[in-house]
Amino acid sequence: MRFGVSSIIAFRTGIRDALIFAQNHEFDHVNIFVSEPHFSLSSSERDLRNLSKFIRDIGLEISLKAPSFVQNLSSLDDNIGKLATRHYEQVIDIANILDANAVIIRAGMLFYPERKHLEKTLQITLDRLGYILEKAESSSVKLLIENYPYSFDLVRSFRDMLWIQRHLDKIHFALNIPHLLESRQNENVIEDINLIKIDNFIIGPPPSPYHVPYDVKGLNRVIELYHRISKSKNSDIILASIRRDLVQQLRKMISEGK
Amino acid sequence: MRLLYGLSTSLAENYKNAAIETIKFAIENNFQVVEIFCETPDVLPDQPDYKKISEINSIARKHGIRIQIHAPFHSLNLASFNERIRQVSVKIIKDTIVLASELNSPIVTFHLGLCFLPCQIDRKKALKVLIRSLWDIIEFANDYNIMLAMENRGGKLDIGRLSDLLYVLDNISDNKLRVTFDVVQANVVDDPLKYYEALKKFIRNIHVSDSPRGKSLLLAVGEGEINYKELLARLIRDNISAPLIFEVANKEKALKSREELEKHKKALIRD
Repeated sequence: MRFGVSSIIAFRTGIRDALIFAQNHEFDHVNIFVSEPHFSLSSSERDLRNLSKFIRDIGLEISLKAPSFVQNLSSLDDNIGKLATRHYEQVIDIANILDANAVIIRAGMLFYPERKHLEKTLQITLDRLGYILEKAESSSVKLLIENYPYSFDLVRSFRDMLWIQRHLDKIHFALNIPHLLESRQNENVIEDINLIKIDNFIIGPPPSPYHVPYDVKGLNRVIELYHRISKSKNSDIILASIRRDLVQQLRKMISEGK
Repeated sequence: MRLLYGLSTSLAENYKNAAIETIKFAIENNFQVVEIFCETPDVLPDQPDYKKISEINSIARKHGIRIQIHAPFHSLNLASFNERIRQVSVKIIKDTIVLASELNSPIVTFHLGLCFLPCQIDRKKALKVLIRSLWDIIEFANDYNIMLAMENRGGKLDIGRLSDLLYVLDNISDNKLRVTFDVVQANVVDDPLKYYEALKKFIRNIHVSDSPRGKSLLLAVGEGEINYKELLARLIRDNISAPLIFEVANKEKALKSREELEKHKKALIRD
């Protein structure tokens, strides 16, 4: 099992700081959180080349987490859908320059209009996902979908992941354990996990590593669920928290099997 | 005091024809206002269907129905640190203002934005971004003589708490920027009466539904825990004539809500 860390560990101070932290604490991999002002999609090629050299010098593997707050591949509003597609394409371009091995995206969100036109929405989502997948493949970047906990999210459960995989078999997944816990979709379907191509487990405080405030008391439940799942599946881990002490604590809890 | 009752098109059953269906229901049941939620495919801000707009205008004019507009809000974030997201959000609100003008709506209700990790870490900066977006939209709305009504929101990720609205009102003094008071969204996080007292000078539109405290279930008035009798008493006391728009789960709940409010009103007059 290999450990990585999300660059939100240095959300205020920036990517280079996150890379140095990862190097100093012997992580194998850094997942770069592409969100302004932490990391800009509009970074110049020169800045990206400089960062790429820094990453090479430091000797760590890199992946990217695409912006996923409002980006919605399922949107029936073309303004929103096209913008999300464009953003994900840009992240793949950045992955190329930084020599990142994977890009993590959010599959889509089904709000009121999308639920009312579910069939059409699902087709649009698959079309947009397919297009992005093609772009990723042509760049030799792996495309991973991360599960989210909200009732409007297209991918919350293992069942949702299986549905995506049935339609787009080259897509892989980054299983966010606190999101899975929060979505309460984890109870009866853990046996399904062996059918799903999970490349990474994302582990952080619930309800979401990308949310402040977070519930430190809930860490035990996250680790407990991780241990249940990891009995059937052994994938690399990305630890995600804005707090360095929590990241260290999580690593210890996982390594010691607590 | 006569209360002005209205319906949101979100309670329509035929989603593809939500506006007309809701207007017809409003006519049959003597509602005075219809608030069109612009995410239904029959009325999209950037794809105006002029035949549909003309049909809506014609029916509304003939039967004296006032039309007002609720802007799209899913995936919009006027406070985004991502400039392209912010620009698309501003564009969609501006498109909605144009549509409002075409539908003779005097007001556009909109949501301020969302607060994800970057904003949660630096909310002050996000609010500054929001103010910049709002100035842009207000200037545009002024050209069309449309009033903008920001809605209070209670969701974990929403910008729209009482403190957010007061911050905006402190920083933007423009009589075209007012408030849509969403009673149930206030009830998600606090006592709606507290929101009302703090915002009453600015309220130009009211969203009505009921729910237990802390939840947003779109129940009919009387089915939840909100003290509508007291709220109504204060609306009458303060002579607030904003329309009461029922944003409830279905048409039956809208009828029930109006009945309940009329009952409270009679009791208040009697007392």
